[in-house]
Amino acid sequence: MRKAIFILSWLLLLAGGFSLWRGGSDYWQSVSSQKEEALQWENQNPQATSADASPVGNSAHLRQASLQPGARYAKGDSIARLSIPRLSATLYVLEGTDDKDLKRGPGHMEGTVMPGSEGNCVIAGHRDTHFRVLKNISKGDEIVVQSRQGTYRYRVTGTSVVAPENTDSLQPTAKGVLNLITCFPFDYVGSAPRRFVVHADLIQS
Amino acid sequence: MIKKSLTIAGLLVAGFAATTATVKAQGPLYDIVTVDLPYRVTLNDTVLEPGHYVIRQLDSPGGGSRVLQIFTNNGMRLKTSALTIPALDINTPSNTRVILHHYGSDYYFDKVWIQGKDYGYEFPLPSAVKSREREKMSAYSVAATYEQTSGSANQAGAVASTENTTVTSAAPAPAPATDNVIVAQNTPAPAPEAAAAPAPSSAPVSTPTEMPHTAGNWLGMLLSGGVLTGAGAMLRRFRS
Repeated sequence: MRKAIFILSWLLLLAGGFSLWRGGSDYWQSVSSQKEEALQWENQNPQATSADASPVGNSAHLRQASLQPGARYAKGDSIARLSIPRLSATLYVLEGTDDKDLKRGPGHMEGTVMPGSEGNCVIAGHRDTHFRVLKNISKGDEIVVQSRQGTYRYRVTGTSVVAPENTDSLQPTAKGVLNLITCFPFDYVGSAPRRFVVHADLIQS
Repeated sequence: MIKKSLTIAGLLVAGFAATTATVKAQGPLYDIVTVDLPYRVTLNDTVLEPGHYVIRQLDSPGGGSRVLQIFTNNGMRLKTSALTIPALDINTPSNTRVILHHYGSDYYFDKVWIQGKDYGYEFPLPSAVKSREREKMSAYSVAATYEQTSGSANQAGAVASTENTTVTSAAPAPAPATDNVIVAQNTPAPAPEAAAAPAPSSAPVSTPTEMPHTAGNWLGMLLSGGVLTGAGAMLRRFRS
């Protein structure tokens, strides 16, 4: 009996230690990856770091983006810098939305258009790290997305909470829209049962 | 003076040819057809310029949606959508075809047949085209006055005769669709400017069909780790 308790206690300690290490490393990875992406982005796009340096949302940029949708990136590549000025949030968006990508940052969903293009651009992120900021987003907020093709402004038109099976927000659209997707509720521990979607329209001059 | 009634059947609408063109298409995926349109094709209020298009069945939870969406830009940009009528063919098509109506100088979608499937999609004709078709099929009687004069009577008769002949030949029976399909396939399409551009070689990117898994669970792992570690520590303390 004492031996069994001895073994069980060690198993629990090992499992607990592993979980603590895994949870801590996931969180650390989400923070450190964004710092790395920020450095990399600023090295590669020195002109893009001044948010308002280039004219935004003008037709020339839109045209260029449309012609280079793309600007197809490899999975895991840093594709854009997303900022929400009112919430003082800046995030670096990667290509892809699998577990590995989303640990590093918000991911652009493959099969949707690139930021700034006409059509539906979908970016997903974890609610408990990068996209936690979406908890406080509201209608009318501005979202600025800087990609290598230009800088684009989106205006939040609303938010919705949907079931995971509801894929309306992934469907192609005729006009330029941005959908930011994360889990819901924000304070849920574990796999949250619903999805929170921020809908935004591309502002055109 | 002899009065004659001259009956003129049909409309003098030139260039009405109910030909149906078949455009080679490839449809390797479920309810997704890619097609290079060689003509401007009108669908609802949208004119699709010649070029590469992806025709995709609207994704619906129950499946079997009758709405087809037309995309450009390698399937990335929604151009228009249309509600179709289910079409059945007991002879399962051996290749995927997009069939067009040809009215005058305009082309309209008619049907989409998918290789290996006994069903297809039929596009309802626009009401404007239907009315044009009705006009073509209906006969109009126009009163005419015949004046016999000594010198020109025969000439007038000849004119009337000629007109009658012309009218008769201007209202031909619609050619069978199959013939039109063959003719369209065998006749090389005129190369419009847009079609001259090389078609995108990349396969269309399919729309995501499921929401991304956005549940990062670092907090859950930390909490469970804490609980497990605490339980293990308590057991060790209990043992001692």
